[in-house]
Amino acid sequence: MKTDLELIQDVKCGNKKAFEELVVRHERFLLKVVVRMTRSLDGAEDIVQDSFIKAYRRLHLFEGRASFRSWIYQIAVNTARNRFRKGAREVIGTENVDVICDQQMESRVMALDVKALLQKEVDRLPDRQRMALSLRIYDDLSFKEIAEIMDCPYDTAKANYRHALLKLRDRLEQNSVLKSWSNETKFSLFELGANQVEVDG
Amino acid sequence: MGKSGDDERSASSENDWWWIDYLENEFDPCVEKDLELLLQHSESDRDCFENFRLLRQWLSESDEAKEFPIEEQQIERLRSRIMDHILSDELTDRVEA
Repeated sequence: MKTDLELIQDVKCGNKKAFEELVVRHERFLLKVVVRMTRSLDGAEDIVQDSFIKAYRRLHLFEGRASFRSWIYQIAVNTARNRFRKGAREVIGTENVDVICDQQMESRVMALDVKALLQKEVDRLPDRQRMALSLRIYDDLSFKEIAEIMDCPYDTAKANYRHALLKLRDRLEQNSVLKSWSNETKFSLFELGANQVEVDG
Repeated sequence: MGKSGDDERSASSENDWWWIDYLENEFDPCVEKDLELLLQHSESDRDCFENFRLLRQWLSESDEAKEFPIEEQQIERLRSRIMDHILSDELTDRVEA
C-alpha cells in the first residue's frame, strides 16, 4: 500500500485519480472534526469538500514536512472558521430545547444536562486546549499525532490536553449540577440513555 | 510550618497531572506500580483519579459527532463530488506543472 507521500507524488505527476485514495483515507476523520464545529452534517460535508479541493489546488505547496493528515486538518479547520465569520454558528442552547420528561425520565434529563454542560465548557476552552482534547478523546489520536497536527512539541500537546482536562474538572466541580461527585452521579451517560432523550426544537 | 496556599495548589496540580498521565498510559510500568499503590492507600488520590476517569468517559460519550452518524452512502456521495470537481478542475494543470 502506498504512503500518503507517495500518493501525493503520483498526483503531482499527473495521476489525478491517486487523490481519491487520499480522500478515502481522511474523509471520515475530517467529517467528524468539522461536524463538531458546525453541528450540521450538511454544512460539514460542504466544508470537507472545499477543504479537499483547496488541498488539491495547493498540493504543489505541500512539502511533506508534516503529515498530509495534519495539513488537511488545518485547511479544514481554517475553512470552517472562515465560514463561521460569514455566519454565526447555530448553537442549540439548552434553553431552546424542550425536553419531554416525567419523573421516570429524571435520570435521562440529568444525563442530558451533563452532556449540555460539558459541550458548553468544552466550547469555552482556549482553542489549542480544545483541539488537543478533541483529538485525544474524540479521535483517539496519540500525543505524537496530536503534536504533529498542532505543529508543536510532544510535551506541549500533552500540556494542552492536561490543562483542558483540569479546567473542565474544576468548572464541573464548581457547577451546581455537579457540586458533589457523589456515587450516584458516577454514571455512564449511555447507561442513562442520554442519546434516547426525545427533544423538540 | 504549613504549606502556603500556592504550595498546596502547586502540589495538588502536580498530583492531578500524574493522574491524567496515568489515565492516558503515559507512564513507565514501574512508575505505574507506585501509582497503583497510592490509589490503594490514599482516598483523596482515588477520588481525584476517579473524577478524571469519569470526566474522560463523559466527554467521550458526549462527542457531538456521534449525534451525526455518517453513513457509507453519504461518504461515497461526498467523495464523488470531490473527485468530480478535481477531475474537471481548470486549475489542474497548475498542480501538474
